[in-house]
Amino acid sequence: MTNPRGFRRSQAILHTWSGLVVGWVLFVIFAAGTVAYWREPLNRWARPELARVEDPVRVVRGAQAFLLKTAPDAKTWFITVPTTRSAGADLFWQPQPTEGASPPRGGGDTSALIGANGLPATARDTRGGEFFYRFHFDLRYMPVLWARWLVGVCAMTMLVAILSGIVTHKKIFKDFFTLRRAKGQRSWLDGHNAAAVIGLPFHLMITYTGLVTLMAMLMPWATVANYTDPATLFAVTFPQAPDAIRTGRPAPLVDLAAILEDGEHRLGAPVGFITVSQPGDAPARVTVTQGNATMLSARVPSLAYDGARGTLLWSSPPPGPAAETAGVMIGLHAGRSAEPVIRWVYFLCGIGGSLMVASGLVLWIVKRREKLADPDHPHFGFRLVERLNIGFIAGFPAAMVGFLWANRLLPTALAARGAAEIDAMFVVWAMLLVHAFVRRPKRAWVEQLGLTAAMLLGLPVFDMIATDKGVIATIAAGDWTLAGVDLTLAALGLCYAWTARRVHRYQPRAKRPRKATPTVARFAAQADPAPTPPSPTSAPSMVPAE
Amino acid sequence: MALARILPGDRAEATVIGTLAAFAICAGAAMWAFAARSGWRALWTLVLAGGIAATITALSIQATGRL
Repeated sequence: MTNPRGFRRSQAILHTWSGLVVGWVLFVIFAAGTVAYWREPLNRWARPELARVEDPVRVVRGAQAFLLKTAPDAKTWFITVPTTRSAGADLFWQPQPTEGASPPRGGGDTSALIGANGLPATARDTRGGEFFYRFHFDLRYMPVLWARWLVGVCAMTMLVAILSGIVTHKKIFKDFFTLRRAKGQRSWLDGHNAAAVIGLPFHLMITYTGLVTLMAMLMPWATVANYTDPATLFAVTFPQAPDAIRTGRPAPLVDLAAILEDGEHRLGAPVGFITVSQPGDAPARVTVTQGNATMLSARVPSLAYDGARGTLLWSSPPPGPAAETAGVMIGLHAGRSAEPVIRWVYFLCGIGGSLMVASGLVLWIVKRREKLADPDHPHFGFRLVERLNIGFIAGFPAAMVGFLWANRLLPTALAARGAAEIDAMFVVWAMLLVHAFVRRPKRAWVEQLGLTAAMLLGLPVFDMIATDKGVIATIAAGDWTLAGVDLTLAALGLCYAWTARRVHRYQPRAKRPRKATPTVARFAAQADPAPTPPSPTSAPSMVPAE
Repeated sequence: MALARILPGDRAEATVIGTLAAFAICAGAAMWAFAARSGWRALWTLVLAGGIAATITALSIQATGRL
């Protein structure tokens, strides 16, 4: 082992480079994941034409009626039981497998949304908040498995970056209350530390638990060592009722609402999900799964009923301590059980994590700018990192708001509208990436931050004018879910406007005489090639007492 | 792998514990690699550690087989 000082140095190198290599992808994953904590509110927000769900049981009855008519002889029905927060009941069904034909993939016409009145909802085609959730680990325009490997590798690197970061910035806890404002590199370092330390338990938790959500794929070795077939392990860790085999003897399906009531009584908590295997057949089975929002662990218990008689057949055994630990870790990551206050803590910690990644990336630039041999013509790597920082840190959030605007502006009759919204987001992002490379860095920062602010502030205004779900109407109706989305967008818009203004107004102080650090003058010259003349009156008070 | 084999108790539980711990071990290995005095030293330490774990795993599979 090396001496402690060498150890810290080695960890600093590890921290810097592991952070830089995956930083941009991590920022995108972090930002999208943070937004995904508002998945359900955004699902509703994205379909302003839908009424609010008041009576979930009525929606479930409507779902059963719809499925009986549309897919009476399906292999399986899946019904998401709505809550008063969700947009409605999402349905999905699997047709009977036919010889030689592969089952249709994805949604297509084997899915539907049942609205508050129990009838199929006629809403615009959108992925809503669901998109941010899936994008957070499935990314886009690439096979899902590749995306998850990429995300998994980035998360593993992030874990290494956090642990080595604690070693590198050893004084973070002592320096936590030190925020040196407007001092270039020191300030960025303090900001990076503050964002990291405030949320450190969260960052460590979210990274580790994020890895755990993908553990079967990333770390199959323990499974390989113990099992010839991984399915044996899954049968133990994710117990399921034995399969229903189709007989061809018809038998009417019991009222799902009655099973829902009995299941909630037995589980002592709301049901989140109903699965019906072989509906309309004599051995039909109805499985109810407890809602994820009702307990911390993601391993929620389930019950299986006889679909023709309505009697209880099977209930899931309690998980072992290790399986429960994994379940709690995944539950902690997804935060589905979070009450509004805790959900806000999650959201703010997510923003803190995004800021930690972003400030780390900026710090890489700030630190190297001082050492540039020729600040007017920085080397290629420096320029690349600087421009990518703008295109990702300012550009990606702008693109996410662009997605919300596409949700409002694209014509509702457009074919494949849900996918078009997502394409629109990437078009905005691509344009901003190009913009980041063609504009001067400071202008690019200000313009992109300003654009984000304008788009964020514009959305609630648009909602007030063009929909009947404006913030005044939703508050008057006591619908705080929708009002909350609009108010949060406006608040974020103000934050962005403030930041854009700060960056716009920022005059590198180092232009003023500072004998102690002559290198900073070069940094200033590079950051703003056309600075205003230094003001002699303010100079003395700005000289730091170092 | 070795952890999953040698931990006592239920096999499924041991598997999950081994998998949960794997991420911490992996991060530790990366930090160790950078802390080591030289690349070769890091390499042979990690190969040695991996070799021990692999031997335990192989012996254990030989002795009791897999499910």
